[in-house]
Amino acid sequence: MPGARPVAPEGPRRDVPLSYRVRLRMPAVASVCLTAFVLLVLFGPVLMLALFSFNDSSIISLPWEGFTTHWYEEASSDNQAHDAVLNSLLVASIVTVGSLLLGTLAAWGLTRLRFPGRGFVAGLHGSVLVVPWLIIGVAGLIFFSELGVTLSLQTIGLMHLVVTFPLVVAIISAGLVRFSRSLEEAAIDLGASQLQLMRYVVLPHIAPSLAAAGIFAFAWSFNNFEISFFLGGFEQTFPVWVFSILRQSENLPLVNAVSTVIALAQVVAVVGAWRLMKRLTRNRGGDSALTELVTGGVR
Amino acid sequence: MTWKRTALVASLASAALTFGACGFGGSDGDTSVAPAPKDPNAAASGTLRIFAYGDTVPDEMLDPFREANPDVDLKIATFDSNKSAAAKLAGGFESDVVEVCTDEMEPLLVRGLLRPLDPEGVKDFDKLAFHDSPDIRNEGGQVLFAPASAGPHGLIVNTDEVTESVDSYQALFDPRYADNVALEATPLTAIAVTALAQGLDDPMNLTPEQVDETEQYLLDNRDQFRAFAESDSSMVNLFKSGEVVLADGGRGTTQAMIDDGVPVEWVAPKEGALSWVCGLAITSKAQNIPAAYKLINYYASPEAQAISAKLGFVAMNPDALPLVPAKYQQTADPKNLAEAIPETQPDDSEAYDRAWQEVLAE
Amino acid sequence: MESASVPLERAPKRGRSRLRPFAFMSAPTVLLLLLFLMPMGVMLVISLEHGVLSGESGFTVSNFTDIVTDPLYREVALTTVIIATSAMLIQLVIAVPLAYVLAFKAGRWELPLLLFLVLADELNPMVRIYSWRMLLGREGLINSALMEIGIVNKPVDALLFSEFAVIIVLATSYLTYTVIPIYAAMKAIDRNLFEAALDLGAGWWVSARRVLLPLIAPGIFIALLLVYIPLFTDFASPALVGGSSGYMLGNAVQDLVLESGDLNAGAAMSMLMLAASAIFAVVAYRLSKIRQLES
Repeated sequence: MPGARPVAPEGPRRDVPLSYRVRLRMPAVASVCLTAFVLLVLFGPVLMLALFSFNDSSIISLPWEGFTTHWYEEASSDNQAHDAVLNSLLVASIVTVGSLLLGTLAAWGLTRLRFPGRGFVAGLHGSVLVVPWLIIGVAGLIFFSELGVTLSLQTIGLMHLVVTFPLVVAIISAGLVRFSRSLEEAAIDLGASQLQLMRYVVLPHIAPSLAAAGIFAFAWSFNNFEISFFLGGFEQTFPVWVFSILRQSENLPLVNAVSTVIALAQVVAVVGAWRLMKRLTRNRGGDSALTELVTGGVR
Repeated sequence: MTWKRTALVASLASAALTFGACGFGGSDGDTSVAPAPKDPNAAASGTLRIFAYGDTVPDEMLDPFREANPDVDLKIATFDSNKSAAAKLAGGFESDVVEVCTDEMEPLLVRGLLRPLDPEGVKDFDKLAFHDSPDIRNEGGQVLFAPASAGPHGLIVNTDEVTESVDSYQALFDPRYADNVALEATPLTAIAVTALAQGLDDPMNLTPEQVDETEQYLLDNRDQFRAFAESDSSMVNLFKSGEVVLADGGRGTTQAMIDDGVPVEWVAPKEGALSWVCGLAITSKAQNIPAAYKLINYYASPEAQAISAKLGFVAMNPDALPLVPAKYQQTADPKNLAEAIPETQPDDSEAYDRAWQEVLAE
Repeated sequence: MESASVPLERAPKRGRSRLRPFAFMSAPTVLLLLLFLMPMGVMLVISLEHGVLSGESGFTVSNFTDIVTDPLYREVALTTVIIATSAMLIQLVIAVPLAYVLAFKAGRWELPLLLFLVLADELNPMVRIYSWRMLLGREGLINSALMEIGIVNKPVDALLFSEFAVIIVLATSYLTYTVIPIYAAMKAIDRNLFEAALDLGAGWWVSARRVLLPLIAPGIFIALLLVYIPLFTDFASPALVGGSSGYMLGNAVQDLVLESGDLNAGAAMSMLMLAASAIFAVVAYRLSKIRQLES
């Protein structure tokens, strides 16, 4: 049950000094400023590059030479670019689903259950995150060649899965660790099975973590270069294509145009995901109910 | 430690040792000369795997080949640097044809990853630039690849800012341009260019003392350099945004800048321009040799070389020149390379790499 | 990922429940063992062998000793520690308040902001770094603005192609991954705890330090783990905006691993980095655990 927050007094009160009133408002102002600043810093480059993808110059730099959609035309007729993007999309989608599944399972197992060798397994998960991808890529290559496995999108996907799902584990663990047990125990007392427990009590609580972890997993897989390069066969992924043609300088704006399209697609996807989540929780009571659901599980 | 855990660790250890002991990138390929097809006009078929630089295999280059050889299924993998290509091949990646360059063949040769070619199997071989150079051959004198592209490496000068005429690598070290100079971030070219600036001969075969001398010269003059360019794109960006006015570099890079309105020109210094030379080689594990020869022949042909010239490279086959549009005639002319010093892998390339690392780390 | 404060179930001695951990953990663990531990094992063996190019064969520790006794790597490591730590600190200073805002103050904007934050990291890093050049360069936006306003007469050269540039670019890279774990940890905190402390008269800063921080310690730990190592091993940023000061350990590792295709020295370097990362992880873990004990 959400506790009632003491409501700030309406209107200016003469007996309260100005400094206090300012201090009351400060957190809100500071929050907005901070958020705006961070969004600017993070999205500024993206927007600037999107802008320059319309620049009539083969060099990404000021000054502005004129507006053109030439790069987009070139991008839409480039087969290698298409194939690379499609390959990356395919791999990333499968890897995302796989990591969410494996990651949630492992996070639950590691934070809730005790079994011999738990420390070792936890350490194993953690260690994947600290090894640079270059090393994992090369190690994976040597390993697969020893086994005589032909490199392909499948080998890329497998290794992506290996490096990505520990991330999901980490994110979901951080949330699960502090999750209040009383609700869980109440549900168990009422006869809920493990599965029902997970579905009705735990999942709603970790929903935002799952969403974020899923998008992360997708981004990591989509943008991964080192592993895709060393473990890839004759089908390229997008970052590998980017790196391989950036050697010729006139390709930079083409890459920029393709990247902008992809970024746009991802924005659309994310907004779509948000609306979907909203719709899924609408029959439980709308906007405030959504955040309620998320924070409510904490009690 | 439970018995289960012990067993686990033990089995992992033994598995790892087994793999390790086998050695990696096994050298069970064939390193004899790859036989040229008896009938050069017979159609090739089957799958052909290519591993090359991204800009060597664009569609405009390969589409004529696909049309002429409809039964050949091309599979293409690309790399962005010789080093990562060598690492991947050393790690066990297999291909039929691989693009190699004179300055990074050693690691592949040592591992027995390349098969020599039969020059008789390549039409026009004797017309290609560098065809008689020892640098495209192994120690036994066998030809390893047919030169398909090359680029002279000299000086790029912003003529608006650098008003005096420049004709020597020493200009890179002229204090007037301090903090306005860039170098390509490749150990071989950086050390070679500096060595030439110092008046040393034979930049591809410096003695350890000479390498030290060159390294010290670079360290003493570090303030000259605003940045080291990792790629063509980076270099072009540096000039256009006014960060540098002078650098070493290739003609293609210069052309890209000129096309975009940057007032630069390319200069062949008096000490001698360098030149990278690359081409297609057959790997020791190749499975489709006839198709490989078809591809190599195609790249050596005037038609393909003309396309290559339009992409900014030098045409290795002089018969291609009439097919090249006027705009590229000058840059495509193989005579540009007549005086050039081919970039080859020095005997002591580790010293070069090391010296450059020390310059960077400072 | 352990927590001292959440009581764990002990696996019962008999019955179906005994299998429960295995049901959960078998798939992930097997995957990691097969595709992570074994390749690493192979890498370890290779790091102990002579390189193909050296002409000798058999086992040796020379790959390791060569690296450790090399003054070059020590110097580069030091520079890298300074740059990476500075960038990490900046990130934490931004991330903790931001996570707080997201978790407690954002209200209905929480979900979209969160998703947009995650989205921000999607852009291809190579292309993104070019935009920083446009911002920090001599003819870039910041210098132009500074000169317009009149603060400086000529462009500030040190904005770009310096260690400063690398720190700035790194501080904004992976920021999303710093914020998210801290945010996730904050989400799970009972908000009333924090407000109770405030109501009881503790100042905001004291409440934050003694109540909030210890509770989000696991989140900070995970953020460090996720982000510090990539910062440490990043090679694109130093190469593209570091100019002649741009050589960090990531570049050195790349050069070594890719050098002449001789993977043995590179494997040794990788093992050393793995050890260093493990040490770092343990240290970070202990630090975050100690904070928990303080509360």
